[in-house]
Amino acid sequence: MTDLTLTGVSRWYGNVVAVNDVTMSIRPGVTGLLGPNGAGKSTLIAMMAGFLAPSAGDIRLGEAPVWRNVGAYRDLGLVPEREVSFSYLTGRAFVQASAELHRLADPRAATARALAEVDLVDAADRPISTFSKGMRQRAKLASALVHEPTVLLLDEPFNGVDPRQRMHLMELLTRMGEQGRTVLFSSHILEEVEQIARQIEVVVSGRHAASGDFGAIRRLMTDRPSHYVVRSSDDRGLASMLMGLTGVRSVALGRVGTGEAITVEVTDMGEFTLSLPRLARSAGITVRELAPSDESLESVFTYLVQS
Amino acid sequence: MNLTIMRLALQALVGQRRGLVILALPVLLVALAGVLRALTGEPVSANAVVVEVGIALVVPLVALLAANGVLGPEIDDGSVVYLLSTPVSRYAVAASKFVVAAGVAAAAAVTGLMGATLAGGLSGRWVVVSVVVGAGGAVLYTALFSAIAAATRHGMIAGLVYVTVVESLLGRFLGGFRYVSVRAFAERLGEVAADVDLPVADLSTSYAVVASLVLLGVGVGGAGWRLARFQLRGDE
Amino acid sequence: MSAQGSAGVIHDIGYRRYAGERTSRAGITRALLFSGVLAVFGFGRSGKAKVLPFALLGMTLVPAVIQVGIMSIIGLSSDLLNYSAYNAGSSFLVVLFVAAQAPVLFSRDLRSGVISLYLARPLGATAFALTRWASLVLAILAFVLTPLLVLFIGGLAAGASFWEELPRVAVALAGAVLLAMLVATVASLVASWTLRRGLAIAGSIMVLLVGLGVTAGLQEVASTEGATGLAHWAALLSPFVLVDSVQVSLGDATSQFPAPADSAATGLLLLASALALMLLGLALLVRRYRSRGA
Repeated sequence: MTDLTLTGVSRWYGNVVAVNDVTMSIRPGVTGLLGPNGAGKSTLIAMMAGFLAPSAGDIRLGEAPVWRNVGAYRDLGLVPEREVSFSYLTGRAFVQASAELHRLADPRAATARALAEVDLVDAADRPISTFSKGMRQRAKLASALVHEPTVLLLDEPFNGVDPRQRMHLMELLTRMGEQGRTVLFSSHILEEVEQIARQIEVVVSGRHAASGDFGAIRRLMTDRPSHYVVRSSDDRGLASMLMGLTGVRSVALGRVGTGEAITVEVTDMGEFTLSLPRLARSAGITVRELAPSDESLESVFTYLVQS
Repeated sequence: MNLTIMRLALQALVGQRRGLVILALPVLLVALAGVLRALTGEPVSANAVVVEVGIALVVPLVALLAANGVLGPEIDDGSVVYLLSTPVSRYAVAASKFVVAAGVAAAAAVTGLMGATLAGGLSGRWVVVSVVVGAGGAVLYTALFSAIAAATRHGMIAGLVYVTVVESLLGRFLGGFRYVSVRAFAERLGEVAADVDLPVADLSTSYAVVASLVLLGVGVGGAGWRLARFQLRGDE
Repeated sequence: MSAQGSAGVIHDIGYRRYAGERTSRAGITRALLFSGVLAVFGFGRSGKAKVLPFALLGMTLVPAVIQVGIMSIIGLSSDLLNYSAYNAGSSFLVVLFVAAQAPVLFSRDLRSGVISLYLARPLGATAFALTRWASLVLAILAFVLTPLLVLFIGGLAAGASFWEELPRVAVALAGAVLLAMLVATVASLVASWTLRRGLAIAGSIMVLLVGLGVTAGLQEVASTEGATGLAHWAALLSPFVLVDSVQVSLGDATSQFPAPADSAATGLLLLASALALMLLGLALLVRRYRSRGA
């Protein structure tokens, strides 16, 4: 009961597709769900947590489906992005309520243990309304941890948390992963994911864009030949010069979109970007447009890597 | 039933401002009866105070506040997810919340009606009416408003439209509306129990009983159905 | 690379400060006022937000349309048109409208804390609160005046005399303005105090609708018991009864309630007390904005 398996999962709202045919398997250890804002991360996590029905496809925790199966919450902990609105409860009462709802044998002890785990013992008896953002985040985490779930899902857990508490949360997640739990958290900040997750899943515009070891994905990205569209005052002349570069695999002349252009397949991006302006200037050719033509994954990954 | 859910629901209802408003209604009713009695020096008109203000307004309003207090805000702002990400049956969550809401509404309604009966110097039969119609009406209204709150995000307004438009306005002119009027069911039950003459259109007792039971089932079931299909929307 | 000594520099990349003309305080107030009025009717919000205000407006127009229709078809006399009693008759619709829509203006920004952003602008808490109130007054006026205008114009079209109808309609219009101001004060106080929409609705309903029932009952009993003074002053408990009483005593309208003021002096005194209470309410409203926005 530690694997979360998604098979062909899609979710749409009317005409808008939020998640498009995602197949992935989340295994023990820490996994980062990475993608820009609006990529469908929250929708995915809501579906994994059984709080949203997939429009198509199937999500299982072990063998059992998660949608409309409250039994799944015995093994599943969820830390939603949503704020706790039980602000009139103390931190301890909030966590203990969760312990009682899980029908634990000794809710009091479980509460104390969960509070200690997230380092919230000192403040536990204050009302949640007096908590800082980081403390609220930890209270939510404690309530999700109280029944020792084997799978823990966290939606943007580091949002708005100050750096020191962020470090603390990261250590906690790493520790949970080392204990053999399945931990999945979403983030749009690469640096956060890089620090604690070996495994990453990248979603872009609702599609599952990449998955695997972070370093491996990055290598695949940079080594992959990429395509550019160039428009200039003398396409044929520029094309013949570009073909002379070793970092260029192919050059094609033809109609692209509304006009004539050169399509270049580049294997060494560095050489290409340095040489193009030099060649153009020496031959007196004006470059009017240079644009990547397969921008989907690269651009997103570049965005993620550089932000 | 789940005691933890019930405790949290009770805290949400009486621990906050909503509790004050729920309390204010019966207090207002008792004060009205007291003032009228002090003015006239004789028992107040049961019809004007207990029926037209108490049963027609105070009972549905406390039920409306209670029903929407335990269900509405938590579903609205999504924080009900903290209660639902546990292995407790969603129908048990709904039933527990309903029991608390109905209990609080019934306590407020009975207190208000009975207080008004005593402060207004009415006969003992009206005490029976207060208990039966107050408790029965509050529970039935809570069931109705729970179902409405489960069906729409505007449970408060929809409930008010039901009370003012369907029951008060249309019910007054069109007798057929008695068949869908919670007030008519409750008053019928009160009449039977207390041997007083409430201004109820003819409605058979068995119909009132059956309709009440159906309403209870629909209210609790509807709320549970809503929670079982609760979907967490992202902020995106 | 070369400038190793310098600690740092902010490059001029073309951002410019706004140097153009700025709207005056009056301009800000006007913008806030009208955006508020429109927001009450759901403009600038989702399609769903328009359903309720317009549904209620439609319902409140039904009796007016029917009356005008009857007049023009059967040709009854224009005495049928009772302008000043119209809004007391449809009082629960007015109350529903105000209770449901006041939270739009008074609950959300106070509750979420966005209010402190607004109040950091040149307008300040007092002006902001009063402008919000004025928005609500205008919106309520639009709600209560529309059926009156339908009656008036429809009546004229059906052959009523303009000069005979004018004084009667003028009394009703003045009454509507007073009603809008009083009801807006009550609803804005409740909405700004409760913060939650559902609770604000219930609170306003309780104060306005239950208040109306209680006042009518009190007046009934007090006047049969001969306590005329009390019966008159009970009108202060409900805006609808008060407006009726003032219209009757100062404007020669017919009353819908048991004990309207019987002399112009009492009417004036009632009006003055109501306005004083309204000012007190506005002071409380401003105080609420001050404490929440700080």
